[in-house]
Amino acid sequence: MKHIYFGIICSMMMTSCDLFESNNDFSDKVYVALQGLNKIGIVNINSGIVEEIDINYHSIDCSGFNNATDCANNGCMWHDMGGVNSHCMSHGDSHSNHAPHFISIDHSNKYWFVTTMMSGWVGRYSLNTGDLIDTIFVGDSPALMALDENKQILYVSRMMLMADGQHGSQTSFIQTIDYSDTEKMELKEPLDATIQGPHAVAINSDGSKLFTSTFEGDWLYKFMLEDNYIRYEVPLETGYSEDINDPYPTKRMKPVQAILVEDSLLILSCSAGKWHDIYSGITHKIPGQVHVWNVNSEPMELKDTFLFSWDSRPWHLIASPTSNRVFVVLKGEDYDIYPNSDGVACLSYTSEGMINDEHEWITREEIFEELHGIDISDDGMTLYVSGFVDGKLHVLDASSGELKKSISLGPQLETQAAGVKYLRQN
Amino acid sequence: MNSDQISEYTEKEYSLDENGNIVSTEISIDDFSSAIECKECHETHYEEWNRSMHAYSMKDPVFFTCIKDERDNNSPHGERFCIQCHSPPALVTENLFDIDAYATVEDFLSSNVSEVIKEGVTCDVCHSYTKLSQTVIASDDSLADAKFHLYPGEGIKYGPIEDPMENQYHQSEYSPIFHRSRFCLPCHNMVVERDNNVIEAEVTITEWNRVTGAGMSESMSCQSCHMPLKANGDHLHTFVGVDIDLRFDPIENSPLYDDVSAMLKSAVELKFGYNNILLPETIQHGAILNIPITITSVTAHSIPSGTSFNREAWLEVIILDNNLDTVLQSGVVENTESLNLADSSLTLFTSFLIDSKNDTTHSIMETYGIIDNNLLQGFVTVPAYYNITISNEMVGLLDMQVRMLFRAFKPRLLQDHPDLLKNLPIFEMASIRDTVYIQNTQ
Repeated sequence: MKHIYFGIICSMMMTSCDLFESNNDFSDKVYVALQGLNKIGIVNINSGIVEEIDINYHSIDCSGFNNATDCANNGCMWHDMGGVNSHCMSHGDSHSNHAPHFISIDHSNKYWFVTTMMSGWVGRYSLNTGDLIDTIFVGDSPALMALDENKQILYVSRMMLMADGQHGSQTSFIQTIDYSDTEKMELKEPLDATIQGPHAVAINSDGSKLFTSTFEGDWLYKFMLEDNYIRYEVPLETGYSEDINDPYPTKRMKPVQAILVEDSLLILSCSAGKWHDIYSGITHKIPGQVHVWNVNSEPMELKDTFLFSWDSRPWHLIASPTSNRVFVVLKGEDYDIYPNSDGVACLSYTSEGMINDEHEWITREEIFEELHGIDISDDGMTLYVSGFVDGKLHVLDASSGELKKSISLGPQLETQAAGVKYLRQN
Repeated sequence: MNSDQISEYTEKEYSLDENGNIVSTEISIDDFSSAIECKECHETHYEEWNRSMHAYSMKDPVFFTCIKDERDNNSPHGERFCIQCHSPPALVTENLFDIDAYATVEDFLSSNVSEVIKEGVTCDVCHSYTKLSQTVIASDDSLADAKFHLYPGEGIKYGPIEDPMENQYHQSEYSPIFHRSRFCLPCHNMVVERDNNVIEAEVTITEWNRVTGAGMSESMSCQSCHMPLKANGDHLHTFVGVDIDLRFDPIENSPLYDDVSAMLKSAVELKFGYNNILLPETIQHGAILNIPITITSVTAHSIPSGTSFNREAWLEVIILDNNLDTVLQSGVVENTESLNLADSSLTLFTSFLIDSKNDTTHSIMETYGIIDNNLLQGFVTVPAYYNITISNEMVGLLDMQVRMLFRAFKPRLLQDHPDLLKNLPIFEMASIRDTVYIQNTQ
């Protein structure tokens, strides 16, 4: 069901609206996953009008499953309370909770897709009409997506799990979905990343190589999609995570999202943060970092690393379509304890994969509360950043980092604005 | 409805001055209904709540002692810092009774202080909540800083039921915030800022949030474990955690004893071996037996959590030879006895608050640092190792018994309450047992 709401609000930040509007296409639209509201918001940046689409696919009443296997097989979560108190429950306490997390747009074939991390669905919509075309159940906390628009294949990653193997993602598979049929999507053979919770995912331009990295295991994988899914892998750090079969992976880097630039350089955000060394008993504060990997070499080679503070938690990121710049969302640590830890940073890199030592700019604003997703306009001039806790879509000047305005998408703390996708104009 | 309307919420406001005194408040103590009134229609919920630590928060003799200590040593901020969460109605209505007027908690409970205040975290504290709160950050002066967004006294009860039944007693309104872990703020996340240092004193929500899948998805929320759904679709209102009423003798009769025991048993897993280091089936004289143990948290926050500096979880290891002589023991204590911190083989999970003189303290008000390296973090697996040199006198089977144990108080914290200390239970969280055969090489 689609609703259109007109009473939108833009809270103007520091700069006049007129100045901002004078430099932008009035019809810019940005899709935002409103995870806490079970909606997708389609934001007209100029007018502030938000078109909301409810996410209310078929969901399963988990309370009827009385064993862990049936429970998990139906996309529910087994809560082991010890003995008769154990029960099956839906993720997130409510079986109507879908938690739309990430959006991808196929501009060639005019579709957009959404993953619902709590209920395990992928939804496909018409980009022209906004109508829901079909849904497909992939289960197990679908998260980010990568698209091959030519072959019409969708690759779906998994949410980071909760380490016990019972909650969050349990599989190590990137789900492959064929959406070439105009009416019905179809599951295809998945890609096995061997460690649970492959989260970051990126694909090269001809659809022959797919890259993923596991939040739970600090490994980077390359799949040769046209060569029997041959897999190559490399640890994200030398000296750690050296055994891919280690049942207790080190989990220092905690990679989140990857983007591929120039078809050879993979830029990877690593959220890092507090890490407990179980051997020394010391808790280390690992700097949040951005890696640049040469993924055409074998083994894949770490070219350079940019370090942020430990509490920065680099999260989603996006490359400029017009320059050698990458924009990184800093999710930050617990926002009300470490209020200045979140922000948006701009880094520049060379075609050899070296990151300049100094960031181009970094923007931290009081209004930011746990930033999450990011995308950029066609012309590379404007950034769109979601606030998971503040419930806003923040609009920044990509060249300077200046915050232009913040559009409220719903109540603070409850909206949980996550994935952001800009609708290209051409 | 537009986004503006979505973000609207209602609350009665109050403000505090620099000493935590109410400057102004729109909330009257009479705005809060007593739990007794709620009982008329919600008897099961009442009975569950009445067994809970929320109901016990102002009846607890240990709390009463602590707040009197704060009154004596850190007044006026100390007792207000405590009362803000133990009885939010008292804080927001400026009904801050004089704790010195009561010698014992029984005196207090029999006084003419409002029943709503004595009820502690009473029904209306939660069911008049309209907006999520933030973490309490106690600054250098440790002022009471909890921000409660309440709308009591207007005949509206808020809750998690989307289509509540109409009734003639109160209006019922659905609020999605009741599904959120952050609903348990501001009282279950408190940090202290001293000289610009952040001390994560009681940070259960932050610990949970750092288990990334938890914070991002609300998967395994606070409510899902501590207010699980019952068969009839209602949430259990006992808010089971790790604390119980210690006034019962035998302690097994304490209302939440079984619930706490079951919860703790579901919190960790033990096994012999760690990764590819296995417990051998046999060992020879003169060799060193390495006993690896894997401890896995299946809890979405640290163990212990909350006032982790008051609590402790540890491994009790007992290894007996064929003659039932003790070959090795660690962490073996009576319930009233402190652990031997000088035992280098002791596997202990706890934290320590540090005061300005680098001594340990149990007062948030006096905290200048925290040693929290020894907490078992959420969903983390850690190893523990024990070594025995196999002497020639040892023969036959070595019987290895390992238990993970927990108690909600370090015994010395109850030294002023010997009647409670004797009832302090040690709960078993997990246990494993195995044998190693000693090969006679002589």
